[in-house]
Amino acid sequence: MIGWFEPTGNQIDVDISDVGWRLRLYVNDLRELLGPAPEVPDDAFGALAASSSGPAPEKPTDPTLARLLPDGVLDGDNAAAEFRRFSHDTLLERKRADADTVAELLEDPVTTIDQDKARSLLGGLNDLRLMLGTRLAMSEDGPVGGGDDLSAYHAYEILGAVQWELVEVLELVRGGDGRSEPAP
Amino acid sequence: MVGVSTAPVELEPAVDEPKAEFEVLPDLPWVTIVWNDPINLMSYVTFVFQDYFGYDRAKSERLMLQVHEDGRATVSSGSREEMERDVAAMHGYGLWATMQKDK
Repeated sequence: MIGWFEPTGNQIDVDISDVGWRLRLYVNDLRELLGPAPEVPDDAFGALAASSSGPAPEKPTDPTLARLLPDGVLDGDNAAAEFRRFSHDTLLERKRADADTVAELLEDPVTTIDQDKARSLLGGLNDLRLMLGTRLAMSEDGPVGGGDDLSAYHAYEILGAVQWELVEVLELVRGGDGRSEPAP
Repeated sequence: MVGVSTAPVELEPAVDEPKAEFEVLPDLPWVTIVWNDPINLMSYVTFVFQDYFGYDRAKSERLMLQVHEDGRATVSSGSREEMERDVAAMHGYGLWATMQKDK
């Protein structure tokens, strides 16, 4: 284990201070790509009207955003649009929250997080890898095009290592040993 | 010759026949399919199947390998609404999934 994450009871100690400078730029890219959260209408009626009316959101034309918010149905534009209509906002909300978690931890890189935060971090790291991997046109054998962006490629590789370790540690913590310990 | 009936025995099949009409088809007409992509880590995909579906490690790894080697795997089945939930959840984790009617 390289040591970005260590199980502590049912939580996880984090120290990602050495990778922040590589990732910060790309987290900002991801947040920009996802866009700001929509303004929530003050009254409940307005919120309901905003969420249930209007046309289904279009499939994103940007290939990276299309990878993050893919079609849920293959055959039939109507079915795909219908799927997007009900899932799009919730999905985007989760992506934004996960990207925020990564950004938060890069600002406060030595800390302790609970399992929910760890899941959100894991999702955010994965979205970042999806963004960079799509831009680099990653194949099973490495980058096909855009491989000259060494900075993005390094970030992609580091994200893979960080994510891999977080999966290992989260599985340990989730597995019962950690869970059975009393909360501090 | 002792009287052995030569009448055709019809009763038994007749009793069994209506069974087919009442056969209950499993109400699982929709499936969720996860598609391979070269970016997601194998260990992460395995983790997602365990974490979201509650599958044990062996089953999750088997499904992950199926995705990796065959390009796709059916990971769950159920009603349309359930599959909408599963597909949306997979997208939340960053896996590409689609739903379709089981064939």
